[in-house]
Amino acid sequence: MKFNSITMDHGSGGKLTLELIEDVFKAEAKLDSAILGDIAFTTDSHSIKPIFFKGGDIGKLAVCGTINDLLCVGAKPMYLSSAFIIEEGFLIEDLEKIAQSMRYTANQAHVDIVCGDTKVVEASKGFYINTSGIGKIVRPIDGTNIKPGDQIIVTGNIGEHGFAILNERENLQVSSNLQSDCSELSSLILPLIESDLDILWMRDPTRGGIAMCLNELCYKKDFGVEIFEELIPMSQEVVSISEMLGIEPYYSANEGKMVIVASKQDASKVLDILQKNPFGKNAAIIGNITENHPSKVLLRLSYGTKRLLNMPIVEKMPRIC
Amino acid sequence: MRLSRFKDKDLVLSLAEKITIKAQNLDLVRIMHVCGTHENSIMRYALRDLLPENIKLLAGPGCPVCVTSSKDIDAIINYGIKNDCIIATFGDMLRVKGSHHSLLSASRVGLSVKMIYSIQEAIEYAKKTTKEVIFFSVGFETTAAPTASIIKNVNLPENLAFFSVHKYTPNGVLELLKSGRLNINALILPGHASIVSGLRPYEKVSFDFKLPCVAAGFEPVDVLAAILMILEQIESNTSKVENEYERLLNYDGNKLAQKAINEVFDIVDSIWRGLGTIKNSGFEFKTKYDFLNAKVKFDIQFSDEFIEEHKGCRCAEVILGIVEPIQCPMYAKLCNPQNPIGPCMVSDEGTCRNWLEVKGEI
Amino acid sequence: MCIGIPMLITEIYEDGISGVVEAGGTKKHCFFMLIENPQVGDYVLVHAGNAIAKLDEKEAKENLELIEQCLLGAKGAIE
Repeated sequence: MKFNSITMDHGSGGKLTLELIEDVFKAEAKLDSAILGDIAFTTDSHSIKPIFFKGGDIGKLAVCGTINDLLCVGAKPMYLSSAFIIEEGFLIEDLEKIAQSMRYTANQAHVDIVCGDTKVVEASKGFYINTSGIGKIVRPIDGTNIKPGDQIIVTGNIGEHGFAILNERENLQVSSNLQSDCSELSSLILPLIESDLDILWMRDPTRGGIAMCLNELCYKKDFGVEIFEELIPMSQEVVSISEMLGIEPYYSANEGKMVIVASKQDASKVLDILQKNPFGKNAAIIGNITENHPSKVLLRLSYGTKRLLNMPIVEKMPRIC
Repeated sequence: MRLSRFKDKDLVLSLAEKITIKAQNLDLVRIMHVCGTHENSIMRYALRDLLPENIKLLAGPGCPVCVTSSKDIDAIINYGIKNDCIIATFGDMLRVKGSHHSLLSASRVGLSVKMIYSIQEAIEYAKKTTKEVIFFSVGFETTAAPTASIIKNVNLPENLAFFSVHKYTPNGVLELLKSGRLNINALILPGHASIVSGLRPYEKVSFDFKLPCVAAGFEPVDVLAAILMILEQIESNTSKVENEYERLLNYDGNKLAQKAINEVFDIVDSIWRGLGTIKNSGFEFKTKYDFLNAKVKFDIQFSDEFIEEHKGCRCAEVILGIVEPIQCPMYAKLCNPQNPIGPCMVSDEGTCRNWLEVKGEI
Repeated sequence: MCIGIPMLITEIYEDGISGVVEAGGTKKHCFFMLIENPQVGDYVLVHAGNAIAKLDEKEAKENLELIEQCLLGAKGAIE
């Protein structure tokens, strides 16, 4: 697909984002953070409508996102920067709330916000936060030793952030207890990184949901991924809103979950540790790495039937029919 | 409520087993459904995997978004860009391409578009703005009935008007069969559209074309039970209209819904994309509703120069079950969800899109 | 066409033609003009914010029983 200009779908975290990285930036989408010797380094920009949502706000999201990206490569998050691009007319009161929420979240994770920047742009140009982060590598987790038979774990119920935001943003007039799962996962993931359990790969399944995340796991690789519908944890709220909107939960974003690949012998120990933490109480093994169908994600349904779970190409829209 | 039983694994597997046994005594059976939600459910649960080789499930013209004509899309876009108004419509309508633009791509060149999930939302939205809001009202009788009843019963803001592209399913199906272009042995009737129309309109379809017809719900058990009922009809050499979806579908339809439709709409000839003009297959507002019919109220202009099928697009044949999506040279290449050339690639209900999502780029 | 899911009527407003429906903890505004005599506690099929049919519990039960019976026969035939 060739485009003359950027469309919203280039930023949806799906296939087009990946193409942009490869074709225009001439780079390779590898890990959530760069591993530079003992240091992990990452950056992430955030724009979200609405800025305040059930379960969080753009500030919390920015801090959590960067912390979680550092954790993915086996690092202990240490320092963050925060850069704001603010439209003229933005309320100071709202900015205070956002800053407060960033400080609180960083404190929780024992991370310091050490530098920052502020730019103001014309009215109605939006509000954006960029956070970069540095972490200390405890042990590098870079996906190099993944092999068939390895187990795939998700740390909790999927799809909550995406549906909660869609509902609020589009004002779908659906009222639900559903809220964003936005959270930093250091208390959940650090014990795993610090253990000697055989953990091979981690990623937080944000935009594009677990469908995107698992496709990235096997993108251009000589192995494939196989997951089982019956094993994937999701709340009743997510099931019902997903049926109402006609969007499958596999494609809905998460902001407080991790997908983990662990060796077969250690997977159940990893699961035990996760389930003892409140953030991981619904953790489950949902599938495995397979040598069949390389680079593809297969969803096995309870009837013994199967289908591909493809990389999302465009952002899913609620459908009427 | 034991509704979860309609997804029950044992029940599904037993049905599949019985279908396989019955199929052993039958030749090739081509069963068409005419409902995008059926296709969605069949793909989502991969139900074709459970069927023997000689039972083929074909996806017919069952997506109202996919059969919306470029003529209508062009007209609303042209009007909307030139005038200070907002076009409200359902999410899957946004990406359907007209001759040049979809509502979504037109929003980048000056069209104001608002995605909504129910008509109630369009009403609330119109109340909050001083601009004219035009609801691009798409859907089969399932959606036409709610539109009609709301127009009759609810106090609507004066700045809300409707542009009807509603279609009437039974006559669409009947005309397709008359064209002789469909090569099928049986029909699965659309459960939700039939809730409104009832099943009597399909008796003529079944009788004239000696087609077993079974109306079905959308759970895996519903779809497989309907297939089994069809095979039983074929086995006993009968062709009648049966109802698998009795828990929600009344044979005579929903009288209140029919009454609402009859009071608000006339049945008119309508263009189904890729299939041409079909007699008595669309809903248009009666003249007494001119004041909220956007086409009249704003004197919206239609051009007869519109591009319905882009060069090389085989959607019409896909819709008729003549070819499978992968037989189209543009499938997944030039025509893809980001830049759909044919309407079947647009909605999750469209056959090509469904195939691409689930089967990949092959 | 079309997406429609069974939801429970939890509230009917004073106007008698609209109210609230619920499924799995998710609540939504709904019109009831297309069904006869809506009651709190009824299950209805909701499409685009409108109840278009009442779910007949008795029919649902019979529906299943019929399918199950039909299958029992089939199992016998296999053995």
